[in-house]
Amino acid sequence: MKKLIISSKHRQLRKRICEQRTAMYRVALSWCNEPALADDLVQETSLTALHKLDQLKDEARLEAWLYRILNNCWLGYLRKNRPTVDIDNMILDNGEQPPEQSLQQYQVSMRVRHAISQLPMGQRQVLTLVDLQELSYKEVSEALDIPIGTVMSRISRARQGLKEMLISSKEELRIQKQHLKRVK
Amino acid sequence: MNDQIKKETLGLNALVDRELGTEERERILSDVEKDAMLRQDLSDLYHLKEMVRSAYSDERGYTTGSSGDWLGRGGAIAAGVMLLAAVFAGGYQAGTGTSLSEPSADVFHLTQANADPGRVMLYVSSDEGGKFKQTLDQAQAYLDSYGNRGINVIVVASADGTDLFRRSITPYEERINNLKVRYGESLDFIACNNAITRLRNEGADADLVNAVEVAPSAVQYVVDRLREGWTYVAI
Repeated sequence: MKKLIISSKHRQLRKRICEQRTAMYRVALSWCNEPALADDLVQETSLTALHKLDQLKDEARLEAWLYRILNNCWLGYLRKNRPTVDIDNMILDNGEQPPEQSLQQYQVSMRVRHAISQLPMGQRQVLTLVDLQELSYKEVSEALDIPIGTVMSRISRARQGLKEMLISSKEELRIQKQHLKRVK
Repeated sequence: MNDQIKKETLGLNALVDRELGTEERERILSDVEKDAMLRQDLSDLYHLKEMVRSAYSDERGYTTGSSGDWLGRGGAIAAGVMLLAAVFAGGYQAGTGTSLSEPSADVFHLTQANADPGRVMLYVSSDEGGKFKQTLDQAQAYLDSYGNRGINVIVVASADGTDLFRRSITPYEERINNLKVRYGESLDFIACNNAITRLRNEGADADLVNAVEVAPSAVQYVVDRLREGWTYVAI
């Protein structure tokens, strides 16, 4: 009977992990800026989580646990591929420039993503876990293994950095006025 | 490092992230009410938070294959980014007395200084955390509470929020139609034609609930209403 209950519990947890994959992908993409790598990180995180389900002590903390694993996968990748980099202060240089001034939604979104990629990694991780994943400061603290005070200072600095990059160019983001046309 | 960041800045960020208790929240809001610069800072933080969320909202995964829906990569970018871009351009500020009812924890207000509390626009871009139900509940609450004062409410949906209005998906078709019958011209439901076109291009069913009207662009629609003085509430 106990085995059946555990099995049922694991099924539910597996389902919750699978449901988190899109969200994890967004966070991973915001960290690494490479879709294929983000996909690999999510895959590795999911597999690790599924194999280590028994280590999850508190189901309510599944998300923080998952992002802790994702962070470990990401750090593992960085250590392997960029061993000399100060990870917390790392800024991504993927060779892409922000798009030219444009009114297209895609380009605006790319501009925001580019700004995020210019933040030091420590700030970017906190920002995206709070804003994309809506984790609490405490959950972020657990996921990244940093004090809550550091979470607070990093998110403040991250948003200040974004503000300087995005709001200073707000005139570039002005969109053309269109008139409402009700189709029906 | 923390001492280099003003306490009030940490407080504003914590407020935006819903990390504060009632007492601390009230204290900071009181400070915000008295200080135009803090109001602008708070507004900027809300904008930035929404921009970050919107910048990745259409991402579903990189690879495509048979492993599940999560693998299908979204190709388009959320209208919310442009919405915030437009709000930036318009220079809107956080309102301090324009809400008609106590907002829930997931709701924030971005309003013009001269926003009309009698005209409220609810914007929804996804169903995360039960936002569809929350949107309809909020619209109905406004109309029930202030309908006798001539309040008007518009529910605008874009990006993944369009699912609220898709007949093949929404569990709220009957409720939406009933609300429209009940409140008539005081309540409008607006879908974004850009999002609908995108769905159709992907081969998805984009038939809408009868009570819903379509605007060419939800973002522009919102911006136009903001210019007319509507109060904007992002769910």
